[in-house]
Amino acid sequence: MRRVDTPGKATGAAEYGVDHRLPGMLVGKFKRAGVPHARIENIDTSGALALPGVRAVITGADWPRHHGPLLRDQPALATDRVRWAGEAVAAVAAVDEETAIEAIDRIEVEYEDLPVVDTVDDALADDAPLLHPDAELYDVADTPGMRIQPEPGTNIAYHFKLRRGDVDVAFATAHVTVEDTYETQFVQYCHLEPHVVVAQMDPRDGLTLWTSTMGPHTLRNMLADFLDVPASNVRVITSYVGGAYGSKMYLRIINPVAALLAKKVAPRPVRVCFDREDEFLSAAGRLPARVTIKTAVDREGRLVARQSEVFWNKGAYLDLGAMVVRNSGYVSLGPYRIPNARVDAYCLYTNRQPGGAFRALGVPQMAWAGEQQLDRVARELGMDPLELRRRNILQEGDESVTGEVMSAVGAGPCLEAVAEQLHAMPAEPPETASGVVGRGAAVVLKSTLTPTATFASVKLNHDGSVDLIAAAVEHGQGTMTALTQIVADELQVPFERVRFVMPDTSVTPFDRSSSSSRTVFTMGNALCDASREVRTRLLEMASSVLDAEIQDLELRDGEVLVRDDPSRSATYEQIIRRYYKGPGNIGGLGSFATQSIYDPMDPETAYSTRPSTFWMYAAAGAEVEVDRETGECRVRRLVTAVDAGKAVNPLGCLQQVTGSAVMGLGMAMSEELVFEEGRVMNPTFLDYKIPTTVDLPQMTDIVVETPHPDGPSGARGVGEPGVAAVPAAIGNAVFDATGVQMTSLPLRSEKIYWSLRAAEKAEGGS
Amino acid sequence: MPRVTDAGAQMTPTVGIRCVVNGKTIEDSVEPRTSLVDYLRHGVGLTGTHVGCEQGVCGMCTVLVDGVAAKSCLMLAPQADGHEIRTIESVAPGEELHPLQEALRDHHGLQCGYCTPGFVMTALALKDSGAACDEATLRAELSGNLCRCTGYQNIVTAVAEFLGVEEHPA
Repeated sequence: MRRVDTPGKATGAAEYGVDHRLPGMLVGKFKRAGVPHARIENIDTSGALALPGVRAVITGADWPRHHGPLLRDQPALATDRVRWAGEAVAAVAAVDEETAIEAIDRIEVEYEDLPVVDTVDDALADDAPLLHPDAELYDVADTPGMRIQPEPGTNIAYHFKLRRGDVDVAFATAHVTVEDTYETQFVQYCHLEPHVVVAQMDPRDGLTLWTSTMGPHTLRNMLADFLDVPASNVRVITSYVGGAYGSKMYLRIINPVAALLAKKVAPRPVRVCFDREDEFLSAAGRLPARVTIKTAVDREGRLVARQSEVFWNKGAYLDLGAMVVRNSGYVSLGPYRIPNARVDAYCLYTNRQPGGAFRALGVPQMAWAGEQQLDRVARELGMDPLELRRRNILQEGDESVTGEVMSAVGAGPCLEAVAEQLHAMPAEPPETASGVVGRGAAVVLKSTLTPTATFASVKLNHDGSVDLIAAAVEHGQGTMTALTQIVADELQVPFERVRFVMPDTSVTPFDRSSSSSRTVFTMGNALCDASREVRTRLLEMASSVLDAEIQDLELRDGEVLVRDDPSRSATYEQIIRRYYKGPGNIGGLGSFATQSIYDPMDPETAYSTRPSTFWMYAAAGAEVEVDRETGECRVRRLVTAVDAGKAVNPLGCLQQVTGSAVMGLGMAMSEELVFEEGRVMNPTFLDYKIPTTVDLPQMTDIVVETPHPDGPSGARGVGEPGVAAVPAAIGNAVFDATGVQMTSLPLRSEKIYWSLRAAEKAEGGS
Repeated sequence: MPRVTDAGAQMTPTVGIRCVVNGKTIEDSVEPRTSLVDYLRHGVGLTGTHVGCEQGVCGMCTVLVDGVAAKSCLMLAPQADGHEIRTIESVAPGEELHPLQEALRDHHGLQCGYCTPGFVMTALALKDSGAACDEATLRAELSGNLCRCTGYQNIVTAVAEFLGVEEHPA
């Protein structure tokens, strides 16, 4: 089935958030602090206010209430203190772009610089300046299975703990024990459509936002809370979203700024749109991690213990950091049977932009460490890394490190699919005399947001068409197509007759967000539920209209058939019109909620018999050629497999595999937001390189199907895990080629060069 | 909705331009600092051309100027004077999709779709240039257009099919 959104998107007709314009709309802009850590001595807005065409100027003093999805530690605009250079200190609304820019320039801020906390070492230092000296006083959001408790007198915003068995005894008696430290970098989302919000405050109807967001209802609830008004006073409307990958969620800078400006200039609408520099300096991104991981195996290569200590460079505010840290924490040891396990993961405040949820939520960082280390262990054992994984990989009925008895486990099938393709042919010899070739693989698992509740409506119209009314955002994942297929199938109507109603919190029932690869699973189930209600009612009505028993009726291709008597069949349109003696509807409201299957995680041990509604699995394999003289690394082949449970749209699932693999390739090879003393050095696409058409290796993308008992027709999410397996697979291929393991990302030639030289020196010296 | 007025906007002298946009002659006056992409989007109302970086790197704003692919964020609207501009809206004005768009549909060559108009215009320019093209050339020609969703593979396949370029099996 081809994507339903192609015609609009390929002809330029599709409307995105950036396209929304209203009469009388003002231009909103915010002023970035420009300094990473400072006390605000004074803000002088008089120059801006005096500029003709300026309609409003706001500063932190206008609305000092704090916000944050987990911990309310973030002001809309910095009040007394700036904690990252991209933080907003003031904002204006003006009649046009030029006036707004001029007004921003005229705002004078006096700072008293404070020492900058840039790295995790800076944050952990005994005499480290505290970013949030009163962190323990902030309001904490009630998040199931998570205890957010900033540690007083430190920069630790959150500490995740996992305890299983006794690692100390296991390490003391193990056959082989390996310990290493790995690091990952800050990666930007780089969605091509920027963040954008149009906000309008009406004295009677409240605040309306037209915006590109993955979670309209969550945004509405958080904004209502922030503005201290009932949720019904806030309405969020979305159109197509031009890429998100975990971004465009929660309040962050843009939503509070737009809402506060709209309040001030009511009832005029105001539009705030990030430019690319804002995206690099002020938007969230993938959190950097430093992971010290230790693995012990017995003589047969069975894992006996693993432990990891992770320090996350969280940036100025917690944002969704604790969720990233927890959800990647309990998978940081990989999809394996591990009887003794220990994880301590710390979320550290620093003077950088607050990273957040990014496709695969911390798992690429953890896999970079854990999956590379397994190849080191394999080398110590003299065992094929694939064989080492096979001996330990989670199987049906095994217990995970949190204590869950696993089922429908796709880890092994993904790994085998990758291994088969990767090793299907012998490697070509190196292209240069100093070239060496190697192969490597990695396998990951990822959880999904749990618990959540999802609601959706389905409406069968009297012309036989169907309205699919769901807060499912199409940000590229193929949601519209897959959900349309599910409803068309459930209601037995032609695919083209299902119309997808764009999310609008006044219209579409509640769903938390189109994130965490959960939409096909949760929204798919809610839509099946809603469709069943419509079906039941349709059959009742048909039974009356056709004078037939319900059990003798069958729905097929927009018609109600009477078994054994085709002459009495009628279209849905005829049933509705005959029943109501005119036009009418059949509606269904469905739901899918996971609070009852969720087992809240113990905050001391991470024990949980079901921490995630479903699990995602992926594996990647890479073949690289490394030039030993120059350190240049070329990925020749990349094989990626993701478990779709049951692919609702096979080509759509493959798209997700390819797209996530190339995003992982970018993280592995070139992408890094470079910080110096808290300042970003490369905030442009010229200096921050995402892959292009000429950077791709030969790609093999695979959809594996291990049906999930709770998914619609066995389906599960596919969007994220591919990205997580790729960097580690490439790292393992480099290790295989050179014998030197790279510990930090990205794999720049110069970094490999110096690692090779250091290894030669160490060998020569020994 | 109450009526609002825009007292206080800074008045900037404008310059006259005359150009052909998607086959129609347009005479207009624009502020000299207006970029071509802003003019097309907001002045002419052609929002199919997108903006991604405003510095000529991402390719979202690619249009054809006298048949040649150009990044319209790097041109000022007055520079369009005397020239013929084609945007994505001209490619399939009726109900039928253009063969390139059909190929994109068949191969799932888009996801969020924000970059798609730029790719379409770049590929059309390549086709119109009549230059001989193999897969390597094709990939090089498309490398000025960024996409963050698809991993490019399906876009390359669709464009290769449209251009009749043989793609090496992955």
